[in-house]
Amino acid sequence: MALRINAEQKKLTQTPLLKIWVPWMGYNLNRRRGSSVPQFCNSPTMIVMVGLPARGKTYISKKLTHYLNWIGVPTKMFNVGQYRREAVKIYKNFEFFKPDNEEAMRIRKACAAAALKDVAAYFSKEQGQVAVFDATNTTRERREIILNYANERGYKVFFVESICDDPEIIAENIKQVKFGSPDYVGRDIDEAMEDFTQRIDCYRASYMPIDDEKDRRLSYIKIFDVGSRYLVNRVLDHIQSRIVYYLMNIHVTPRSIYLSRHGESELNLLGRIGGDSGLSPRGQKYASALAAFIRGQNIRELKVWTSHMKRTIQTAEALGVQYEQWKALNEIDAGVCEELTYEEIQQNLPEEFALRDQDKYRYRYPKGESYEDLVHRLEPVIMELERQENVLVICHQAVFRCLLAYFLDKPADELPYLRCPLHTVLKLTPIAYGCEVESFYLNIEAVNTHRERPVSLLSLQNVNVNRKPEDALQTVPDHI
Amino acid sequence: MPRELTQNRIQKIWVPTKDDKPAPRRAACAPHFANPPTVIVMVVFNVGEYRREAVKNYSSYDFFKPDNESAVKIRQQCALAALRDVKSYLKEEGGQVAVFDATNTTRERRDMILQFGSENGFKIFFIESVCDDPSVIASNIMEVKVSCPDYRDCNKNAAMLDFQRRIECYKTSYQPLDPNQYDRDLSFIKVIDVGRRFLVNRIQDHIQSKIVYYLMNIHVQPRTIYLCRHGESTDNVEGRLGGDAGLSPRGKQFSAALARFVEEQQQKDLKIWCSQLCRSIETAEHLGVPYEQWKALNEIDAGMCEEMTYDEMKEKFPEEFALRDEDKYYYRYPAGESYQDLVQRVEPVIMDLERQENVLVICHQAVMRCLLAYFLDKKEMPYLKCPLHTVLKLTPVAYGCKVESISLNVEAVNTHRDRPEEMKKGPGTLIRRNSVTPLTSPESNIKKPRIDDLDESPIQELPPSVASMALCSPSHLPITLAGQNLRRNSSGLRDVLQPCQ
Repeated sequence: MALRINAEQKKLTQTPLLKIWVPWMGYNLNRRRGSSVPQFCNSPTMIVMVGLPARGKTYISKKLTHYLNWIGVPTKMFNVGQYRREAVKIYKNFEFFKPDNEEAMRIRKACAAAALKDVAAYFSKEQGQVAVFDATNTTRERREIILNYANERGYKVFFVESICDDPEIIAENIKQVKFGSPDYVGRDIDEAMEDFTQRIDCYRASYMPIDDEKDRRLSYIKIFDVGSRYLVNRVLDHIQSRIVYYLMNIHVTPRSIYLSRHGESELNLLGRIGGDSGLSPRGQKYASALAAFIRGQNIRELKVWTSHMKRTIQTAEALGVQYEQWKALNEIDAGVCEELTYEEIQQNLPEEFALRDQDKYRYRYPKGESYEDLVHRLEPVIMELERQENVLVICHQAVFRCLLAYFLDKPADELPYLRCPLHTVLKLTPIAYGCEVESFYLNIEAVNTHRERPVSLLSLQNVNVNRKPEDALQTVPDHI
Repeated sequence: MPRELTQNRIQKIWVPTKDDKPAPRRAACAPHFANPPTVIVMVVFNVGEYRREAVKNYSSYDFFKPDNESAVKIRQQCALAALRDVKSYLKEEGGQVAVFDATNTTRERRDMILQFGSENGFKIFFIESVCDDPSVIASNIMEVKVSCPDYRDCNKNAAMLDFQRRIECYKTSYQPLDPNQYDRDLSFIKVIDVGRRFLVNRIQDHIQSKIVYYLMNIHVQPRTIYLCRHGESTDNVEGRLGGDAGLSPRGKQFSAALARFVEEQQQKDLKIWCSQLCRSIETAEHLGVPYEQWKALNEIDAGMCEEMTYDEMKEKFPEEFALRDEDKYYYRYPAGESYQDLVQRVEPVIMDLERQENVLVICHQAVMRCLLAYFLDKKEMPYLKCPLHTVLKLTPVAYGCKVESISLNVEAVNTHRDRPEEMKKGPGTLIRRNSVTPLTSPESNIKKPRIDDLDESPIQELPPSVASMALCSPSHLPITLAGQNLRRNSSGLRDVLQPCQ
C-alpha cells in the first residue's frame, strides 16, 4: 500500500489550550490519526461484581469507579439494587428475596435487564468505556445472561468476586452500610440485622461461585477475605491489569489521611506562582503549629511525605520526624509562567491567561503542565496512599486539589477550583462508601492564593481571549 | 528550630545542611519501597550456578537423584553459600532486594530460608511457577536448557532427554506451596501456566505489590520492539538541547525512510508510540498510520539549560556543566530532570511495553537510553550510543534480548557526548538507587561460592559469556539480562549494538 502523504498533512500545529501537536487538517480532530493519550482500552469493558450481600461489592464498585474516572477512563456504576428500589418503592422484609417468591424474581430479573440496557446506552451514546455492574450475580445462570449480552455487543467482561466468611467482617459491613440504606431507614437496629442476615441466607442456597475449572476461559479476580488472597485468571488487556493492580492495593483498615500545603512561602507573599522559594516567617510559624497539631492528634505510625521543593521540606522539618520526598508531589509546572504574578501573565500572555480560564483542567502552561498531566503524574502517589495507613502529605495547591478530587470524587471541571487555603489541614477518614472530611485552620494568617472560577454571567465574555485586562484580573487575589 | 537546608549540587535535592541524626536519616529523598530488605525466593525447577561452580563437570542427571548422598550434600552447601551472599548483600552492601533463584521445591528447604529471613530481619516473598503443559516445558527446555553449560558437550536430543530425567528427580520430592493449610501465612505468588492464572497470598508491602503487578504484565509471546529517535530536528542541527522544534529536511527524509522500513518489516498489529514533542510527532505522522502520544516519553527536561548549546551551557553555567560530567546519571538540570527522574517517569511506559506485542517507539536520546538500558540491562545508561536516524530492533530471546542496529542511511548530526577522559567513573550506580524500576543487576553478580567444606581445587573463573547464561531465571519468564553474549545463527543479524566506554 503506497503511503501518500501530502505536504499539508505533514505540517503540525500546536492546539492552543492543550498544547498538543496535531496535523493541520482544519482542526478536524476526529479524523486525526494520532491519539494524544495512550489508549487503554479499545472495546468497552463491563466489570461484573459477584458475591453474597455484605461482601463489599458496592464499596469496591464505587472505589473502582472513582479511580478509573480520576485517571481519565470514563466509567459509570450500575447498582441493580437501586433499580429494584425504584421498581418496588417500599421494602418490607427479606421475604422479597426468597428464591420461591416468583413475582419478586420477575421484578429482579427485569431490573437486571433494565440495568444492562442502560449499560449499552452508556457505551453507545455516552462514550463510556467501563461499566461497573454492581449486583450479587451469584448464579451461573445470571452470569451467562450477562456474558451473552456482552458478547453480542462486543464488550469485554471482567468478573470481580468477593468471597468472605469471616462473621466479624460481615457484621461490620452490615453495620457500616446497611443500616443507613434506604431499605432499613427508621428501623430498629437489631431487627434490621436479623432481617439482613435472613436476606443473605436467601442467596446462599443458590450461590455458585466462579468455578476455576468450568470458568477457566473467563477473565476474573477472586478476592478472599478482604484482600488476604487473590486468584487472578486471564487478564486480557491493560485496563484489566490496572484494575487488578488497584484492587490488590486497596484495603479497609481504618486510617486517616492528612493533607496540607506547605507553609506560606516568600513567593506566595509576592503573588508569584511556582518557583522554589523558602518559607516566609508566617510560614515558619505554621510549620511549628503543624508540628503541635500532629502531636496532638496522637496518630499511630504516621508517615510524612513531601515534594522535592524547599517549602514543603522546610515545613516537614519542623515536625522533627522522618519524612520521604516524592518528586511526583511537586507543584504543577507553570512552564514559561514560572515565578510570574497573574498580572504579569495577563500583561505578557493575555491569550494564555484567557485560555486557562476557559478550561482550567486541560489547559497546559506553555512548556509546562496541565491539571490533567498532574493527575497522571500523581497516580503512583494515589496508589501508594491506598496501600498506606496513616499519612500526612505536605504538598502544593494544584497537587492538593488533585488528591482531594480523588478522595472526594470531584469531577474534572470542579477540580481546579477546589478550595485549599494555606495553613489549613484537611483530615480525610474513609467511612462507609465515602470520606469524612474535617478541616483544621491552624490560626496563622496567610495570603489567599485561590482564584475563583470567573463568573461567566455573560457566558463566554469573561474568558474570551479579547477580554479587557480589568475583567481578566477580577479573580486574582491580593498580594504584596 | 528547623534545620537549615541546602540543595545538593548534583541531584538538586534539598537536604539538611547538618544532619545531626545520621542514621536513620530523617529525610529520605525518595519513598522507601523495600524496608526492611526483602528476599524473593523462587520456587521452580532450576539448576544452580553455585552447583556448577562446585562441580565443574556435569556428567548426567544422576547428580540430581534424591538418593545421591554426596550430591545432596553439595547441593545443600551451595544453598547455604548463596544465602550467606544474600545476607552480605542486604546487610553490608546496601542492597534492598535479593532474588534467590533455585528450585526450593521442598518444605524443608523453604523452612530453612524462612528461618534465615527471620534471624536477619528480612521479609520473604515466594514466587512459584507451576506449569504442567508438556509442550510449554519442552519448548522451554529447547530454548534455554540445551544450550546451558551443563550440556555443552551433548547433542540436543541427548540434552533434552537428560534434562527431562532431571525434572523427574525433583518431582517425587516436590511440595508445592499450599495456600490452604501449610503455607497460608506466607507471602507468595503462584504463576500458573505461564501467566494464565495467578494465586496471590498475603502481599505485605509496596515492593511485593509492584513485583506481583510486574509479573502479571510480562509475557512470553514472540514479538519485536523497535526503538528510534525522532528525525533530525532544526535544534539538533544547531546543537541545541531540548526545546520543541520541528524536523530539518534530513529529518523529514528519515521519517519517509522510516515509513518504508516499517512497511518492509511487515509486523502484525504494530503499535506506534511517540512523545508529545513536535519532532517525534512529525516523524510519526509520516508513517501514515495511527499512533499514540505519551507525555511520559518526552525528552529529559533540561530546565534552565533548555535550548542552549553545550557551549552556551558551559559558558553560562560552568559549574553545572562540570557537575553533569561528574555523575551524569544522578545529575539534575537546574529546574529540570535527571536520568534518575527519567527512569521513574518512564516506568509506566515500560510496564505497558511489557504487556504489548509489536511496538515502535519514536522518542528522544535520553529516553531511548533509559528504555535501552532497561531491555539490555545496561549500567552505563547516560552514555549509551543512540544515534539519530538509526532504528534498534529488539527481539526477546532466551534470557535476553537480541539487538539489531539498522541505520536508515540518512545523514544526521551526531548528538552524542562521550564521558570526558579526565573524569573517573562516578559513584557506583547501584547503591542508593531509589528508583522504582529494577535497574542493572550487579556486574559482579556471579559470586564465587565459599564452599569451605569441599575438597575442591580452587575454583576457576567462568568466562563472562557462560556466567551470564548461568544466571538462569525461571524458564517461562524472559527476564532480560545482558544479551550481548548470546551467539545465535548470525544470518539476518546486521550488527550488534556496542555500548560506548
